[in-house]
Amino acid sequence: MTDEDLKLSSLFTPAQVVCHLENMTCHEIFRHLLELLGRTNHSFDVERAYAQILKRNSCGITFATPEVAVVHVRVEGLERLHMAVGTSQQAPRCVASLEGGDCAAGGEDAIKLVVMILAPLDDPAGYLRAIAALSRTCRQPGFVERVITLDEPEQVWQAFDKSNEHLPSYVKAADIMRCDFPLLHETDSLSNAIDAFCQLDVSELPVVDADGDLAGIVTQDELIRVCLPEYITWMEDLSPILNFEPFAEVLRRESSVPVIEIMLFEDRYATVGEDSPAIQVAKLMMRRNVRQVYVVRDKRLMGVITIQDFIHKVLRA
Amino acid sequence: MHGSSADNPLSGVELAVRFGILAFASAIIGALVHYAWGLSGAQTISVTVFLIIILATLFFWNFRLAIAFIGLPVLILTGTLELECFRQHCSLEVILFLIGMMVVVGGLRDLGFFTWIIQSILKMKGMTGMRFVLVSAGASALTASMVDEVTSILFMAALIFQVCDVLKVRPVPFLIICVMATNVGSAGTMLGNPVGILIGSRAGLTFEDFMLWAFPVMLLSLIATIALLIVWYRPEIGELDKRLKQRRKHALPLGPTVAVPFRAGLLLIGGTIGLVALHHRIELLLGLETNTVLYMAPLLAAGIVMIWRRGRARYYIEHDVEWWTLLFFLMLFGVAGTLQYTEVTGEIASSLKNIVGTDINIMVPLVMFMAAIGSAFIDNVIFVAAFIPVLQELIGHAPAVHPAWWALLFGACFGGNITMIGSTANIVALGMMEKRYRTRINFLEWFRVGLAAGTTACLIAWLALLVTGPLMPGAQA
Repeated sequence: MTDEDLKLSSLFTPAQVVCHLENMTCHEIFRHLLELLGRTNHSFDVERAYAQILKRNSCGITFATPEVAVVHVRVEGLERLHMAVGTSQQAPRCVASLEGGDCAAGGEDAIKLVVMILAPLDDPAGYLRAIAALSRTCRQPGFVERVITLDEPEQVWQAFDKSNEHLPSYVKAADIMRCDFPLLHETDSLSNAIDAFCQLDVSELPVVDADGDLAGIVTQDELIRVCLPEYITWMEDLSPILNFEPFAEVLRRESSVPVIEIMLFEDRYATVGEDSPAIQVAKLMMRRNVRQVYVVRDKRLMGVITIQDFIHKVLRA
Repeated sequence: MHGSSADNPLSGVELAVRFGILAFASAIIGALVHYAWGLSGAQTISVTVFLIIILATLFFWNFRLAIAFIGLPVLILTGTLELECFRQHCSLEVILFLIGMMVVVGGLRDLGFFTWIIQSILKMKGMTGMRFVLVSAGASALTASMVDEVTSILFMAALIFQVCDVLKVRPVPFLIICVMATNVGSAGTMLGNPVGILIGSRAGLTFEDFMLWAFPVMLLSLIATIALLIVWYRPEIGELDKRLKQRRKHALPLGPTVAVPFRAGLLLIGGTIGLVALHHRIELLLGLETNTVLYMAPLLAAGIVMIWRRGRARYYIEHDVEWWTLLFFLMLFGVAGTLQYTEVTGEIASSLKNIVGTDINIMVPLVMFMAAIGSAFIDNVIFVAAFIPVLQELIGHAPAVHPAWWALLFGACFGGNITMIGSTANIVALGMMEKRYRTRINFLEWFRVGLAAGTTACLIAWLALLVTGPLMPGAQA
């Protein structure tokens, strides 16, 4: 079987499925799923893997869909991907806060399925390919609702098997993009942009038009450059600008000036298509010297991949 | 003038291949000149080393100084050039003049002089597209003739970027207009371009000579060049005008402005230019050798700047003085002097005289044409440094061709407009644009307009020299 032919259901067996985990906490579920995996695979250390999972939990859990939490860890000794599934009709009680942030941002109140994926230590793409297939499976209408009502692990495995979902041959930009991200509209004012930079932990924001197409970006650097243009910085003597005099103009006009006044156009940012290989994102970041890449469908903005996202997903997630 | 590809680091193999091609080409050229022209061994070595330096500026821009450093010992150690001869030809006075001006420019920047100029343009009332082009091009040319072409374009490009960013228009046409005005303006005085001071020093021309014979011609050429560029870029200027009107309607400024204490800078530049302008009178008054005060004026001004702003003195010397360029010039002038020392230039001058004679009506356009074409593709300083001894020989035998000095100046400066690598100002401006907008200008996009602008300016200068040439003191002799 080639890697491209890998079916999602081949990553686990009914023995790695546990149903009706109601009344268990998230940590108990993690432990339980890990022990299930450990029973059939003795090549990894369960305690060490659990410690890793708890450590990673502090950074947040990935959601394949709003109801499907994915716990992942790379462990030494594994040769291929392994998966375990736990179902629950009620959201489990989580000890640690589970942070969302991915395309299928969810929350502890919505969790119905917990999927654990163990990947070999040196396989950066395996987990991402598995989660891409898992997302597609769980997005099938009624799939999650049906699976959580099933009482037998065999039935759950069969449901996954019948979905006939295969792991994609490579990770696409859409698989690692963030869908829930702050943005500005062309009609927003400079004031909105300044507020966003002050309130959010972002250094640049995409600007979309009325159709949701990416029109440009605004950056903190550009905002400062507009306030303090190059010709003023030539002076060694700071006395004419000691009290931020050049910034006064922006303050006076920030509500009336549209954000497009400081918007940078396509030559200043990088875009990729949804189906582009995710590695293309890293290539663009390096070649174009950008820290954020925008994922578009034609011109419509679909998601954002920051350099932190990339590092997190490929090297840590 | 030179290629910028060397900004990209080359691999060891690429470097070895290029050096191999350079060595092979130089050996072939050396052998050709030796056998075809019957040059002596010393003449062949001097021609070969000079050609290697020219090729280095074309293909190994980052290594040009290293190759010049190697070239000089080759000449000395082979007995082609003597150290004393190098000292005579390296034009130390020109290097000192340039060092002084670079320090003065650093002081002017710190004192807000350039900020004041830019802000004055941004604050102009009733700005239209046409007025912006005229003012920015005029300011570029005048600043170039007051300080130097590179300084001028550094500051004027910032104005263009500011206005084009605010108005959301493509900066390329306006940048090209300013760069071309800068190149034309740099021929107006001895301060505008290293070739100006080099020609002045070797031909014994004074600042007053430049104001009398070069500045008016520069103005005429500038007017013609700007007129051509306005016609060439009328759709872009029309768009700029439309955006400016919209902005004026809403009473929106083109950029923030602050109160700049500009008087100190004005005093510094006024004092320096005043001293440079009056150098000949002062020399006559004090009985000094021609151009002594000219060379010393920028050093005097630089010294004052370094005492005035003593906290920044080291910065001016270490960062504002372009040591890399100046050392290259120093080596280049010395190596070019070898051509004269080994009488290669004398032979070229004789050949030229035999072929075209000493008729001013032929010599002026010929020198201008050669200088323009040469400067379009190689560093104009290299071309002028090599051509000066030829002209000195020619004028020594036939003083009537004295206007050819001005033809050399105009050809070298105006020829820089022909290609995007034609002058340092072009390369600096394009580099700034590439860094800011991550975009490049197509070679042909520049060449089409550059050829038209360069040819127009040269034609105007030629016509002007036809009229003024017979009136020049040297020509009358």
